[in-house]
Amino acid sequence: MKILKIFLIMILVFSLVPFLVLARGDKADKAGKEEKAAEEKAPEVITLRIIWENWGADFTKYLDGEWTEKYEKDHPNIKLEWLFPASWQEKEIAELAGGDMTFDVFYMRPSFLPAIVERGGLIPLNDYFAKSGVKTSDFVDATMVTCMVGDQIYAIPGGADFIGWFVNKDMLEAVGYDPDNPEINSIEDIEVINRRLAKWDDDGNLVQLGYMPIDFYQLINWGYMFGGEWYDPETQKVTGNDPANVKALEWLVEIVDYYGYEELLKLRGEYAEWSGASPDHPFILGFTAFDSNGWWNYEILQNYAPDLDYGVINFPTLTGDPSEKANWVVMGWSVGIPKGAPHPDEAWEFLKYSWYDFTAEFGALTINSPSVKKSFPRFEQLVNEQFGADHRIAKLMPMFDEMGIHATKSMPTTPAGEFFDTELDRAMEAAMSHQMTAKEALDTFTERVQVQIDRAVGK
Amino acid sequence: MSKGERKKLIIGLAFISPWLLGFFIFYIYPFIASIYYSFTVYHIISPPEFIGLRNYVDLITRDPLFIISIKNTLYYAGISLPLGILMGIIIALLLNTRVKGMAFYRTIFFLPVVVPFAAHAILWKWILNPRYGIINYLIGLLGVKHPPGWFQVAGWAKPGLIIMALWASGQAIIIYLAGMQDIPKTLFEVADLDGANWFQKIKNITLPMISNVILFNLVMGLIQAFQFFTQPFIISKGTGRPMDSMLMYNLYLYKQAFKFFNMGYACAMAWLLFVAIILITLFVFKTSKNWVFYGGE
Repeated sequence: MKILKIFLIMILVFSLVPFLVLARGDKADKAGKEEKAAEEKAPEVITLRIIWENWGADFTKYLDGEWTEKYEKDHPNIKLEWLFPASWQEKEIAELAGGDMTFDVFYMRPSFLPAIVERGGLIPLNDYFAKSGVKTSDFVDATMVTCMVGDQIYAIPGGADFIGWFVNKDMLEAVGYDPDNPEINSIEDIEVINRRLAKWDDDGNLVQLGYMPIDFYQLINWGYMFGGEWYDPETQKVTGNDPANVKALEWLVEIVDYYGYEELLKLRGEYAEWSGASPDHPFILGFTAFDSNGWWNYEILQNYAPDLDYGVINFPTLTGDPSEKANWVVMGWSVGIPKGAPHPDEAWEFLKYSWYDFTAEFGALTINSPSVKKSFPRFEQLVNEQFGADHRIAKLMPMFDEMGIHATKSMPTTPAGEFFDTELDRAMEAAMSHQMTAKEALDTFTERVQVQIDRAVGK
Repeated sequence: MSKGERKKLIIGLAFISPWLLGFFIFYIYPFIASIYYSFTVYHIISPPEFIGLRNYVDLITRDPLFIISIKNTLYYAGISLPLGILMGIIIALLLNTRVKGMAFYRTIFFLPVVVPFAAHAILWKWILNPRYGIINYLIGLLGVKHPPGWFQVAGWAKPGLIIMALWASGQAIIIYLAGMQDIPKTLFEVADLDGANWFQKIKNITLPMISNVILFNLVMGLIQAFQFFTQPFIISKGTGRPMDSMLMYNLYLYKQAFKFFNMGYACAMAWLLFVAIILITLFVFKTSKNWVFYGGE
């Protein structure tokens, strides 16, 4: 009997839990109503919630720090709440899949945007652009195109990654180049300097090199330089095996063959990071004379190699002809509003404020380059003010902006998303290790990515 | 069931009801839902669309990476498991001797188990660094001019993963040790009287007596090997490269689900893995009749 009583009490307790929660909610509602009534005279305060890539505390501190303070000061009724998850893609997908969207702003990379647009994850921004007088032509073409699918605009270009070649002046001088004007403009120039810089130790291990060609960005870039295209958005066809792309890959394979693929891989593996911010970056340690990077690299160099004498040159082109600068590739990131966002109008205002009206200020503060063309002079002025006109990176800024002025190519944006990048890396590996010819590797790449795209668009 | 027993059952169920709710919501529902999703094109943020067996057919007939990931996983399991068992037993035998400071040695061998997987992977990435790693330094001292490229070169990536896994086999060692300490001493005394040497005692007493423990570790090791993920994920930065040499089955499944948003396809992969593990485990249990000794049978 006693046991039965205990059981009944437990059932009662469990049954009451929902009512208690509801009652609490009701109480909260009442309290909320009272608060609301009290606040009726005061304007409503809105919190915009933002999912952003985790750039590391050295960079995100500008976002949830100074930039937030500035924005909230100019918009007293809006609060910004930033989230920097370990994987922003997974967080954004999870939020979209959950259905009850609680975020207003999504950070995105070019390979991600079309993949979620294809699945209905973003609000089109065409009306916002039109109402605000913002034109697509105001932005660097190469970044704007990554925000669009067909005629629809799904994001505002955020930071433009204008890439230059950081060069180690001492290493260049040691092999007979003028460190201030090394004249490395074409693929022929790259081949020559590679041969001068490459060094092997007595045991035959590669210990120094010029240009490191293993990275899918390099292939995308050289594909465009050789006159190729990677994707036709009109027909939704992958054009990876374009003969020009094949030629580009064959050229990269030649460079790899000179060094030895395995030696290159081993050398690459010796450092924690080849492309990221790290004190043991091979450029910092003096094992490679070049580092293709953006202007934000100055901070890493300043922190870890203050004595390194470096300069920045333009990314070389096919023959060095200035007209080929149009084939430069601009990477970058964009910002959009997810479907079901609680405050889409306020989110747009935030987008416009941060990456149109005050994009130069945002760029200078957060160490990014802006995408709005007319903001370049203001941006350079701010960088000069921030660092002092004599600072070497301030002097080098026009070199990066030049890419923004000339470049017309962007990273291919396809509904296959990251699959495209992954498969291109695989194609490069297959060709560079001579498991396939460049043609076979890119044929395979094209076929596999096309299947993924067809699958994504429901063909 | 009597009235009293029924009451007890109801009370028991009431007490575990919070856990039951969690179990049904977070385990049983996704488990069953994944069967359905495996027959759909499901991109996570748009509704699933039923396509019958196409995911399974595509996996088997059109996806070379699926086959590569199976080969990689079998390679890893096929070498790391027997080596792990052999090494585990040898170390357990050594730890089962009467040497001063044995508690310290046992702790040392168990320590790697408490190292988080991520830290484990990063640590070994440095140990096996082609130029600065201590292993290649030692190999260099032996006069080898071109030591292995380990995680940078396709042919050496999986051996590197296997070495890492062996380092962290302390848990199995402790279980073997517990099994060995459970063996009645009288058996060894009788063997001593019969004049058996060390090797004969191992072969005829220790191994048969811990064969059930070996079976346990084998089955657990099999499951873990087929679900191997964190270390290759961290070392290859989620890519499975170089040359797909670290693309383990679970890593490929993860990429399909969360990088390429092919959740339906990934669910089909998960179900194939589930069935494969069940079949292999059943096979192991079936054959265990021939080599596992249960006392009293």
